[in-house]
Amino acid sequence: MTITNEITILSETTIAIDGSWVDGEAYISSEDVEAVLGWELKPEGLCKGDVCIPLGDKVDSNSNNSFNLSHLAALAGRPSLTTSDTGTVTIGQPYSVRSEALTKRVAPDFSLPDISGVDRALSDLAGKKRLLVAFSSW
Amino acid sequence: MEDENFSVIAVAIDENTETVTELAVGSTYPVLMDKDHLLTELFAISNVPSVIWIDENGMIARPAAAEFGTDTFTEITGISRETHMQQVRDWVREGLLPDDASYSVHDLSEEEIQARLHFRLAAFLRRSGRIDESETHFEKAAELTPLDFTIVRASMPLRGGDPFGEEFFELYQKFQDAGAPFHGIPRAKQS
Repeated sequence: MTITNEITILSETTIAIDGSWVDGEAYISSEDVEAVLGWELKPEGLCKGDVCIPLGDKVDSNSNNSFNLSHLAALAGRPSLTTSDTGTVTIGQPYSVRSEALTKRVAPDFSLPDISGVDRALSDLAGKKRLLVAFSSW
Repeated sequence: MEDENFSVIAVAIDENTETVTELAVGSTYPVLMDKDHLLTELFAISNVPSVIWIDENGMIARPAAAEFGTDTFTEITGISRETHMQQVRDWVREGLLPDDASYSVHDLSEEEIQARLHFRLAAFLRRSGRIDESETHFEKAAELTPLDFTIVRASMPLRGGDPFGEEFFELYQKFQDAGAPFHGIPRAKQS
């Protein structure tokens, strides 16, 4: 059992927050859940808007009001990778977003910086037909 | 062809803004940087170029397909630039879709999802100067998806390799031998 104080979380952004490491698993305080996952931890469960998912026995918690981050991510429908040796938890995109893209043809919106560093979203061009070209230099 | 009804939006699945900026010289459309490979997760992309048509209402009109801006690789790929450009014109002007637009792209497997997380972590560690740790996770990503170009080939320049050298040709041969697995519209000629 090892405990350090900082957890770096790679999700929509990269943030470092105080938390604890217990047996290789990351635990974060309930107040930080929303910033990390986009879901808020309330007495009813993990909530976003009107939707709440009860934690049931799916999310491990420990005495100082902190919760297992990979369990929370799974409950929010997101994959995660916890590596205590690097001090990080990497959280992937919700399964449902990709599934809606592939089966219902709903293009997921995204925002990324352009080559000048200005953030631009797919939805900035809403109302137009768009040719989304994924390319690379490799 | 850009006008009020149509735009290209180019997204570089790439770490290197400078190199992409050189490639983008003269572009009349937005060119975005996707260093963390977000699009490969959102749209289940496994190679570039992957071109996706999105309509006025934000619906995917034609899913990912390999299409090229030049005919440099036509002999190898059997994919013609002009055919695609004509299809795009027919879609923009007349709303016509090619038959292959109804193709269903298969979802990422759990291994492919985990590989993307390892890649993202590796890229982060590398940017932080934690090279040995980044190697571990580039390696894990490649073990999980040995034929995914957005993982294996994309990591080559980040690991001191050459994405146009011997290791690329080895990857390409393994990919062909495995039947060219690709998340997108399969092309008639793959060899």
